[in-house]
Amino acid sequence: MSLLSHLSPLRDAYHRLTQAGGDPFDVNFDAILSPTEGVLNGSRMLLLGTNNYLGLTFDPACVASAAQALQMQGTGTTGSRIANGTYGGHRALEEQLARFYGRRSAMVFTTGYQANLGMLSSLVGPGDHIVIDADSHASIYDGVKLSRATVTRFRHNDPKDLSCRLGRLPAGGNTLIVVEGVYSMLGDSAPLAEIAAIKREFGAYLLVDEAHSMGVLGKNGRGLAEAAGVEAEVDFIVGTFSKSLGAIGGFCVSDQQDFELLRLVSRPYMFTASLPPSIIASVSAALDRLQQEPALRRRLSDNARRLHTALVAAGFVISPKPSPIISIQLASPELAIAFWNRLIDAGIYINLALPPATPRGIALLRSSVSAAHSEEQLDRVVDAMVAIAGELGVITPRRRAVSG
Amino acid sequence: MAYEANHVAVRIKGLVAERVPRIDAVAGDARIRDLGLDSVAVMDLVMAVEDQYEVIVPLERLAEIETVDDLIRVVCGLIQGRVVS
Ligand SMILES: Cc1ncc(COP(=O)(O)O)c(C=O)c1O
Repeated sequence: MSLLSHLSPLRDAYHRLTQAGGDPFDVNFDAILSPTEGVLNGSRMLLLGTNNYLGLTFDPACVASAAQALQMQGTGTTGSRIANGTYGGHRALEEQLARFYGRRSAMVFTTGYQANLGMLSSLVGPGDHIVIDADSHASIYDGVKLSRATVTRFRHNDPKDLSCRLGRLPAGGNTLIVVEGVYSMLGDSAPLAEIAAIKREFGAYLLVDEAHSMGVLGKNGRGLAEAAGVEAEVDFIVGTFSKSLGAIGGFCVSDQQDFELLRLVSRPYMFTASLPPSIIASVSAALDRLQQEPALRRRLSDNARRLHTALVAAGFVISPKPSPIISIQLASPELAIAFWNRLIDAGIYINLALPPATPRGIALLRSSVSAAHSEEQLDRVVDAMVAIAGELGVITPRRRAVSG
Repeated sequence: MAYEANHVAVRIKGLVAERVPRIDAVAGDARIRDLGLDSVAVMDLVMAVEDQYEVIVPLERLAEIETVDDLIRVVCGLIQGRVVS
């Protein structure tokens, strides 16, 4: 028996999955050409699964800032801020984030995953309670384990269930509620106004992970809290630089007293190297772009609506409300894998999401729309999807998709 | 308490059976994983049990629940704790 023999059921499942053609977990791009195009096995691919919501990965201002910082300050910090010190860019970006959100403090982490680990592990501890949405991202599930608080789940986007469970918690200790701005698999949003009211009723604290909603929702792009008009009730906003800001990194902003002390206790902040100057520079430039160009957000929502309307008209099973995350639900993993392979053949790359990573065990073809997509690109996607769906018997091709 | 524990056992086995296709009786020593419930189905089961008894099974206690009897034992403990406190 080998050390990894406990993984043999996984090996078998993985093997079955790759029988249908390409391996969805091992996609090797030859080149990335733009926010919306790449080359896969010699073929040009339209990219529709990138989380590159504002299309800023090739933005000239972001690239130039990063290049200059790279030339001037080198490739990396080679250590944590606790050990190797804070660079000017780290502090400046934290101030920029705090200003953007209108908060007193901000803390930058090396990834969004670590931001959740870093916050959840240090905001509460033994004797406290954390109540999370059942469909939370893996980084939230992992973060709450590090906290050693008592962890309770409530049914996805169900304020009544949240309220019920809060009512059952034993007295004593603080309670932290954790939800997401936009859920990454189905693109749905938390009913934040109701959740904020419940939070107030129970005297709890509220943390919102705006990973997929920063730069996407809200008049100024501050996310769901802004869109729902409840920023004052949200005690902590966590986010990532890896989606709308087109780079890598994570952060938390807050008005909490003594927030700065978290830098001395949050192990995922203290015991990993800080972001390199080039990344800090591109993120800072991207945040400027996000603020100075609301047109990007408008284009993103126009694009999302265009794709959503066309897919609904074609008869696909997708979530009822348009969002930049548009997921087609399919009857079985096998069908989803076949569909995904056909899309690759048609020059379109999207995400395949299978249980248990998906809610309620459904199989999904997950697309994320970008402001950088052209209408022509999106129409091409719809044509290809409708044709493949017809061949695979996913929808009856009764109607041609009307786009726009 | 013994009477109530018996009741809880029957009810929880019923909730398990509802989620396992083609099963006549759920054995107490059956491992929940072996019943073909994936992690999402287990979560759904635990939430249904929580709602039935208005308790909370904290996520960190799931690790000690392998068999149906483990689940019954943990829930009985939680009910008792609620009565005492
Ligand atoms: C809801 C949510 N939180 C956090 C993360 C982690 O972000 P990052 O890619 O910066 O680690 C993701 C991205 O996968 C996410 O979807």
